[in-house]
Amino acid sequence: MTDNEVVIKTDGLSLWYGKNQALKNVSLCICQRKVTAIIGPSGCGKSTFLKVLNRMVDLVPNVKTNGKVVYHGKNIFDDDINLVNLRTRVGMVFQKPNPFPKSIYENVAFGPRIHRKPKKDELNEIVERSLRQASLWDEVKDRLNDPGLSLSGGQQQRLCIARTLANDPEVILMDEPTSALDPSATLRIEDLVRELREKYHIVIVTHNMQQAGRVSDDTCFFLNGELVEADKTKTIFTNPRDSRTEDYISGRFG
Amino acid sequence: MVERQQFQKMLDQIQQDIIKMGGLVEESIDNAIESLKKQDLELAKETIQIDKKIDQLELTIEDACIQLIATQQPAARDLRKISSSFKIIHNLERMGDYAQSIANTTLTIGNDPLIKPLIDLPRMTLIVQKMVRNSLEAFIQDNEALAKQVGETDDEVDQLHNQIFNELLLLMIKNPATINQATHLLFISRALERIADHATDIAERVIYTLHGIHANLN
Repeated sequence: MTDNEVVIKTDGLSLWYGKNQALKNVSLCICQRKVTAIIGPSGCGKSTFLKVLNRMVDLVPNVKTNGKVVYHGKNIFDDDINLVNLRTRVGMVFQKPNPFPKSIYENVAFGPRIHRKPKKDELNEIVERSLRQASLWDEVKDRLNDPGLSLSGGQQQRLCIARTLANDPEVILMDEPTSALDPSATLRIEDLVRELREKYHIVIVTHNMQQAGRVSDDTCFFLNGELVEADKTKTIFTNPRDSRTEDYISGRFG
Repeated sequence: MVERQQFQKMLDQIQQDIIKMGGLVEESIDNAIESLKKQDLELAKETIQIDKKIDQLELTIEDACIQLIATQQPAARDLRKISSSFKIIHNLERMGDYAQSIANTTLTIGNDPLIKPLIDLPRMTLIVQKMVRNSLEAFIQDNEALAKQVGETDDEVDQLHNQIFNELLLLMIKNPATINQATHLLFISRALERIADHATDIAERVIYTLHGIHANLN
């Protein structure tokens, strides 16, 4: 892997919630145009790791970090980092679809309107492009003024993805994005993730190992706050190096 | 550590069935050569019947493997064990076919006097049977050393086959009247040699199951 291919690099990253250490010395590279899956049992630190990458974790009280997260050559913990910019470039999609209590159009238009103050035509374009990229446009184009919350769960999640895309991110973090969805909505999102990979770098946390197998190029296995193994997904699922990884993906614990 | 009981039970059943299939194959090889040695045509016919059981068992195990993959999403070594099972039952089925073909040859030779006393073929049979048994034992017990031993034994079988070939060739040159039966005996030697190759394939699957690498033990 060359440095050119690395988008985010964590170096000796540790994190504590109060006295409780949630991440232990994690050094990991997130690569360009790839889907990186983070797997591991509950409490292993995978969601925490994801939330560090755009400093979402700052919102939790009593958090302390050590080590570096380097994005575009800069440690995101540096004092002069612009958090709004960081979170715009490193967008996030959450476990439960959480559209704003606004219209479909307004949900997508919300971010760009604040950040870029575009003209009406331009905003319309951004909304349409984002909804198209999120594979939702055809289903909602005739009812853009309906409330976002009137959509089905799977559509709401795609709306949230469109909302993230509208901010023109570079990296998309997904925290168990399909755990609240039914199987067909799940597969739809998985297809979407594969499509988005052409333009964005994606990190996805999932409880569903088969999902990691289906959507990701690289897989990282976390256990008790440590990164146990990171490799190509194919290798992790067919011939992992570490016996703890083997036990986890074979469903023998977790 | 939580064991996946249902999954393990299904996987154990597959392995039990593979052992059973291997047992039938061994019996079939044994009967085929015994029937030839003793010119026991009834035993030859029985051998042909065993092949039907072997074929049936192959389908049963294949279905069980498919079910396990579809319902339990195995990964890593579990997955390799199942994918190897798929291959191994095919190897066993082919061995069964070779044993059946030996039995058919016995029927063809019928009660014609044998052109020579059979010494090397039964010797080869004992080695081949042991290879079949050891390859399956290595698979069930994840025994790498035993698997490698099977690969080494294959050389002995190849040598015996060449020896039999030369011997029968000489016999045919000396006495063309033996050509018909000698050719049949050559086919039998060839069938045993092929069975040994299939046992070596099984031994190679043991290495694959354990390490995920495709080894060449031959």
